[in-house]
Amino acid sequence: MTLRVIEPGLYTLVVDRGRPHTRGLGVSVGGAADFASFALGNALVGNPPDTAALEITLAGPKLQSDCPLACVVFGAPFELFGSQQGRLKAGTTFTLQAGETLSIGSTPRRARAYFCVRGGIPEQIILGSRTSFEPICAGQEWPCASGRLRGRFVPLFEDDEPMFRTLPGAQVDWFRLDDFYDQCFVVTPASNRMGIRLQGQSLRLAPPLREWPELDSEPVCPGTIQVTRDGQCVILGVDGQTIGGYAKIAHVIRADLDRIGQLRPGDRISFRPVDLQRAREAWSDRQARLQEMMTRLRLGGGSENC
Amino acid sequence: MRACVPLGDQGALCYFATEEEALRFAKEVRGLSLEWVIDVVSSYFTVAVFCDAFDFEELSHRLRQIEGEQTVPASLGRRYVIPCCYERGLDLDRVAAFTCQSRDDVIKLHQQTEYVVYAIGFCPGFPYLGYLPPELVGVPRLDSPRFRVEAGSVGLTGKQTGIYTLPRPGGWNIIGQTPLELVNIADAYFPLKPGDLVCFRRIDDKEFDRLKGERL
Repeated sequence: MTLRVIEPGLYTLVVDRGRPHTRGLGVSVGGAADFASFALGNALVGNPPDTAALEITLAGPKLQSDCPLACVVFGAPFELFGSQQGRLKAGTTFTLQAGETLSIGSTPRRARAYFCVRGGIPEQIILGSRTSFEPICAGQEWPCASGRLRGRFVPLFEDDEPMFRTLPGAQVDWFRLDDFYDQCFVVTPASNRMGIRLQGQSLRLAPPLREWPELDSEPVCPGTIQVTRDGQCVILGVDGQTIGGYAKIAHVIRADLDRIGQLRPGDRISFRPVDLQRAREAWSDRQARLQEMMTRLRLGGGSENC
Repeated sequence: MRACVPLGDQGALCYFATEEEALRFAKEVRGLSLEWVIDVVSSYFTVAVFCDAFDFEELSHRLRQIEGEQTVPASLGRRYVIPCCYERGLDLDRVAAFTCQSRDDVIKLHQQTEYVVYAIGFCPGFPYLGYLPPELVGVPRLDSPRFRVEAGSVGLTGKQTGIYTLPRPGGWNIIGQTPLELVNIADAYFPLKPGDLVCFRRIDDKEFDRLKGERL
């Protein structure tokens, strides 16, 4: 009972929650770039929320199984085609038939979705996580659990709101903040899981600064917004470095981090400052809402549309 | 500590007057294995303490309390001697020209200094070693980074030297290469820790081949 990669897609990775405890070794957190979509996809097929799945980016893989598989593609609305069933719907669970090839195409909006299989993808555990360090390749195989599932779906967890809430970074005083908050930035094609590179009007240093001060490298984390010497911003992603020597103007709050994982080249975004109290409320609201949806799914909720 | 500021809503960033104080504090917090601490990352004068839902005032208060009651002695970590074949230094001539030293003097100066691991970062296990002797300080990065720097390559730039633990693109000046394996991710092998001491020992090509692939 084997799941096999026919074509790997643009950048398909085995992911789970990642490695939040080994950053001290210089290993990035990694894991699903949009954790809520990953967790809901798993809940739809009856998995615990941290079960390893395939993260698909912009152009999906072609996969084949020699046994029936209970699965879903959840996150961005990718085009799906089963060689026996024809068009399938992203966000709705289905049974991939024995010998059937699933082709995951592209998506008109957002960037990532999760191919979740009941029982999970049994990738090797390294430093406590099954998140792989390299993308999948053609011919790769995993043993998989046979399963069947009728169609059920839940709506996407959040809208594609173009505004991100931020807290001040340690070097926020270096910059003229109107430059940062009053403009729209464009996501450039050089963006990936390590970082979202933004194009905008160069940020200017705030008086009395005239030159860029030297900075010894300091710890950073997903959501940290660094400003490079040309005045452009980079939002660190889940595969971002653990320390960095660029100035930190701000941090995207945790409640908005999953949406960073769904940004694609050409998207336009802006930032709005909040305080720690607001950030904390936003995070607990979000956690509560996700928890509630997961509980409903566990109790057999979700809509059936066979 | 000199200051403690929020690291977004993911933890606290603590600033210290010296690298040694930062290293000591990081070791102390790690050693306590507190269940509310997700991770500790140190880098030069700063230490990040990551934790889940928290009240920043309370977190900052607790971290200052931990600093006040430190039990870890201010000693440094383990001492390592890393063999280095300087004949494999692709940019040794560039470094010599830039610092107005002979190749031999660059090598001599580089290996007669004992370095401290001030941070691990850039890629898994990559040690940032400080500080270079004054004669070797100030060589800028390459104008355009190499697409691939081999694992084990020993580089320098600014006031620091470091070792590429895995093949990566990189812009540091490569002055040698160690045959030893310093990181093995699949085995969770990460021997170098912040605060450890590192010396380099000059080896020739023959010894390089003999030691190739051994672990630190």
